[in-house]
Amino acid sequence: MRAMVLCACAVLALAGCAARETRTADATTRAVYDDNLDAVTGSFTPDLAKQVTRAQLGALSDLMHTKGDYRGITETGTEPDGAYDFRADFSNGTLTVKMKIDADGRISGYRVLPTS
Amino acid sequence: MKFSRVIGATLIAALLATLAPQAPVSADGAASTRNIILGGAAAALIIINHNKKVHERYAEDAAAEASLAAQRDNAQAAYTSEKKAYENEAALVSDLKREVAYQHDQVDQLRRQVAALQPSGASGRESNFVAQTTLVKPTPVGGESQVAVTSYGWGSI
Repeated sequence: MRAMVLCACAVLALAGCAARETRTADATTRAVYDDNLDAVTGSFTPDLAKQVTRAQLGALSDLMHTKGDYRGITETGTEPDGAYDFRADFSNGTLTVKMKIDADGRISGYRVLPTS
Repeated sequence: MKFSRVIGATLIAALLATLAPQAPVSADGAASTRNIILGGAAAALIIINHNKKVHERYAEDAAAEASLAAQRDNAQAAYTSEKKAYENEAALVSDLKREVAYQHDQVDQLRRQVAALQPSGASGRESNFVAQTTLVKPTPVGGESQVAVTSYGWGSI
């Protein structure tokens, strides 16, 4: 009985982690879509946040807007280096989002790939 | 036409025969009257048959002419339809050419924008906003293949 409770707690903890990463990816993607620089860099590591320019953010936002309205994000897998893969859904298509999170829970890498 | 003349000559001959001098009547009147009636009926039957043949020929000619006209109309309709389809195809090709030209312009414009975005951000380091990222794609046979895809964003993944 005790073992089953521990297993359930472990499963819930893992699910909670996955949900947290998905929430982070969703919030960041929505911020990029809205061209909100503060919201985007707010979840980035300080080093990554310094790399972001308004022009770059605007270009990425424009890329997302070519796909229509943002609908949400779904985790599709993880990679050996710890990066998470997501499928961002829009009204007229999808984009692939890759995100890497450091030990403090901050985003250390965020990239968007056009889906062919 | 010849057949009509033969009939006419026969009728005239029959009329003249009736007008020819008559021998002293020794036969009975009933037989004479019957012969006249039979001859007239035969002539009428010949004329009716002839008219029937002529009208049949006219009907066949009219039917053949109508058939040819129908074939001609069908061919004309088919040609018109094909011509219209060709014109539509030509218009479609023209539209596609315009669309390709527009997309080419858009690609060039985006390439220029990307090139302008390449300078470094506030960090002063070389930016990798546009980079090649490996993407794992499923293959049709059930496996996976890694392809390099242009990605946009910050950090290395």
